[in-house]
Amino acid sequence: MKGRSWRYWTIIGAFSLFALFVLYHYAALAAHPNADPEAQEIAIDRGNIVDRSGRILAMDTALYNVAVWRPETDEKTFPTDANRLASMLGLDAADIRGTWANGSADFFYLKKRVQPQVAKAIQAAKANGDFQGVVVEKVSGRLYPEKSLASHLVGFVGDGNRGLAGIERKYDEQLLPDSVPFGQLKPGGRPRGDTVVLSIDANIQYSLEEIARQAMVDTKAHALILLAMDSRTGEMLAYVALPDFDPNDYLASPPENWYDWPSVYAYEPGSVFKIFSLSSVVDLGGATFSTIFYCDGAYHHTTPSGQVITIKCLGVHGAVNIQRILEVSCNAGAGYASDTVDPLDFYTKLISYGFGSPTGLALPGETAGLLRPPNQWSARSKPTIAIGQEVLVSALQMVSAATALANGGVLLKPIVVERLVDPAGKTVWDNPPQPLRRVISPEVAANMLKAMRTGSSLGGTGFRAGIPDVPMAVKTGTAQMIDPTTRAYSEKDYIASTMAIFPADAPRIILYLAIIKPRGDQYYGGRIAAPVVREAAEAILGLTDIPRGDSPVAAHAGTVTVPAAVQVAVGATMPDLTGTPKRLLLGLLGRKDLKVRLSGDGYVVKQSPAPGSPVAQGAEIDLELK
Amino acid sequence: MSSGFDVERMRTAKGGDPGLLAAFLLLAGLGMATLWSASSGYAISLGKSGAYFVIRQALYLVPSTLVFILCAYVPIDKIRSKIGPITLIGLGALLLPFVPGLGENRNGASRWIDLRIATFQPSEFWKPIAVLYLAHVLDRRSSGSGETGFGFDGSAALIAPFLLISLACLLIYLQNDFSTAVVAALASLVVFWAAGAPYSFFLGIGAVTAPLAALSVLTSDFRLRRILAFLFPAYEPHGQGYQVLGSIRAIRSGGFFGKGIGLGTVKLSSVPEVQSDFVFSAWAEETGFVGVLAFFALWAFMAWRAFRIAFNEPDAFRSYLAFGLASLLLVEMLINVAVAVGAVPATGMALPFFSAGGSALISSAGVCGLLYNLSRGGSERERGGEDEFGAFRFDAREVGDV
Repeated sequence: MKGRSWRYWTIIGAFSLFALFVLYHYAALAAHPNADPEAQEIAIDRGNIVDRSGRILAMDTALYNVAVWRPETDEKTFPTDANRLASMLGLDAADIRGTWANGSADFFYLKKRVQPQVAKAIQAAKANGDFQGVVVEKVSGRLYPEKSLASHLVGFVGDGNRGLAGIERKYDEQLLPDSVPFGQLKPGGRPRGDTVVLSIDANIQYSLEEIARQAMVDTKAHALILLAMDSRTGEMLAYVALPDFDPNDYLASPPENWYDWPSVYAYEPGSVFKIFSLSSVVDLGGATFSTIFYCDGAYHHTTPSGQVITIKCLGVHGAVNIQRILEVSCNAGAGYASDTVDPLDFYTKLISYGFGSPTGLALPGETAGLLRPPNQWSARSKPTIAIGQEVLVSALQMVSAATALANGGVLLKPIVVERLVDPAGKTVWDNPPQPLRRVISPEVAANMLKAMRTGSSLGGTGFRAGIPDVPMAVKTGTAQMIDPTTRAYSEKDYIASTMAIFPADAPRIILYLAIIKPRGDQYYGGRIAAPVVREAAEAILGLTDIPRGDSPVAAHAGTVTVPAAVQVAVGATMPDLTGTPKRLLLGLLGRKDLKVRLSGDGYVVKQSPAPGSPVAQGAEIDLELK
Repeated sequence: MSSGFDVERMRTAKGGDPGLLAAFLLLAGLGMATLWSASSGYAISLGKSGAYFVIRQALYLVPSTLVFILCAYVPIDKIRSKIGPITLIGLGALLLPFVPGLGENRNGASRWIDLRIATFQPSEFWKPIAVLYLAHVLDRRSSGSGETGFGFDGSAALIAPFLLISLACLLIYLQNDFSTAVVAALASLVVFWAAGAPYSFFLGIGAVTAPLAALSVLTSDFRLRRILAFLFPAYEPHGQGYQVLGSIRAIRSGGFFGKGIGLGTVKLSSVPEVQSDFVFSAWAEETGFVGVLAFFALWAFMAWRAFRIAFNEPDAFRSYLAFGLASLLLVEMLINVAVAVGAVPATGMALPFFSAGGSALISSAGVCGLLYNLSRGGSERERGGEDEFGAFRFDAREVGDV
């Protein structure tokens, strides 16, 4: 028996040493909790992106990755399983068997981001004992319930649920933080990133997209931009770019469809720019609204060195003042007006409008445009810039700059994201309207708007944009484009654009449309862009509380007539039911071919499917009332 | 040393060690809770209820409790008198998975037999039986090798037990269960060592098994890949290293204080089959390094109470048995926890009390029952009355006893 205890002690010693060795490994891992960038990758749900009234534009939903864990597979049954899996997942059975038989990886993915119904079917088969070794793992997948709605602004995410474009990219860290504060972890619920609330109004966005789509067809254009902004706050209400894509399956669209025209594309704006150049001239103390210029069909200027500069005008306009220059879009008049101010002052004023630098939005890839400083100008630069050539702008800059005109001369910070809200509903970041700086005096701004109203009057280039009962300040433009091969202005490529600010007497909305490379019979902004702006303005007037000339507010008879209640009908496409009272929905409940669910009382605040979605037999319609 | 510990005074003449019993119950409770938390996400991902694995495991609590009571209250001497049949049954059961129609192939291994209502893994039960058998035959009184202990002369007495143990390990190995074979072998070697087998015996074993082990690793594509995945875990992140990388990720995300019980998130998706061999990574994620330390402290307490029996027990058979059974649990625990942290190559090793698996739970309950039984001291021999963990006093008395 002698020596039993020392033999015991050697074993205990060995156990202790090994235990310390293992503990050391645990301590080393605990000491570097964040050394692994993927540590939380799958654990946190990406936050939602919603419109200004909370309509969901992007959300996380459960998708499934289907994989094979080879050691668990059964050699006898797997080949037949592979056939079934191939048909369920839309894969090639021979490929599956090949990877499996090859054996170079014990764990391999068959398909990622599989829809729940397919995953459920595989799980059900697994519950019956089939599909041994097939692993179904749940992952977060991004769902864009409104499909292509505002797709360029919303953007999309890549494989790791990380934002690759648009707001998804710009607010990636907030939507999907690397870690979540401990207090936010709740049993049963997965932690989630913040919700991004856009300033976009999904209804306006939808209407304007429809209008833009038709315009694309009519004009056979290469691309189209249509932006609507609340001129009092700088909030973007609609952000339309075409061609667009479905972010649910962005790879199905060619990459050029992902191109975010409003913020990334820099172009020469053409005559619309005159509203900024002429207001700058007047504010700088150059020409006034009563100064008269003479247009003989071209702008002529002889430099001190004897160089003669000529800029052609579209017509012979005779004696013109600033109002007339805007009305008929006279290039000569605008050129002469620019002669009345110093180049550096003129340049500084345009910089003050925000040209030459990115807007405060700083969207991914946003362009600064190009406004060269005067020391790089040629003799013809100043009058050329005054008519909107030789200066590159983005559509975002154009709309932002217009806030100064609409807002008594004060430039507003453009807003696309109103606030960030954490999962508990608390606002963690707010983005209130913010005046940036005074660009022009209130008088100049007011007079400019007044002058622009002639643009929409009969005889003005923008008369096709006019709406009879709402005063509109309109400027159209048809910009020449540089042909990248010849480095000269192209004979067939134009950008037809229109800026509208309305109601001109108390501005609420800035609407800007640019049609890039129209290929129809017409390419003038006044011809093809202005009618689209009119349609868009009509749509916005219908969706907002902006008073119209014939609205009951203006001429109240003293008696109230309520229009007869009409029961809501749902046909082949889903109407927009927002604001519809419950009593008008009751007819829907009797429909046997639809499953209608109402929640809450009062008026519809949310609906599914979205307006315009096709309604099939047996479709499920969810309406939320408040 | 620690005789001032409260439970000491509570110990009655007939009762077992309440400290040991408390440690078992605490481990079993923690194990069940951790299994629930760890496996619910995986169960849901399989399309089952979150409590699927823990309910299955809870069903085995009934037979486990019965086995514990049986092992704890049947007198040890009675068990010892039946060691021959017990060993033969244990050895025979190891053949069952090879019987066509009975054996069940799962995860590429054929270590189970299908009992219609449940499956059963004979190798889990062989491990304590091996310890029981060796403690018996290596006790000098039964081996009859005289009072001089095993010397070179006595080595012959070791050959028969060694061959029998080797045969059992070979059978387990042929069930494609390398890790259980290794644990059974390690636990057996601990008893050989404790019982005073000469160095030449271990040298001989080493000379024979080292080349065999190397050969078995190199001839199995599957094991070779596991060793490679251990050496270079990031090399093949979706292959063999996948589970270990996921486990390491879970442990690391737990940090020092963990995420809180039930709040682990990495375990949910990163560690396939977290409920079996990697349940500890869920514990580490949720309780952090503090929880890992607490876990080790609990095991250390249990080991102390169990080894105490071995040191204090005058009867060699009981002493070897207590030491061997405690070592068996420790080997299983340490290897599992070491695999979870990537400290040793990945191998399928259940964590006693924690991992899902009925056979392992019942087997562990049997081991605990035997240890509790042993903690009550000998009935037929005079009880020494010393409760101290004092090896030096123990030695002095042993000398006198001889």
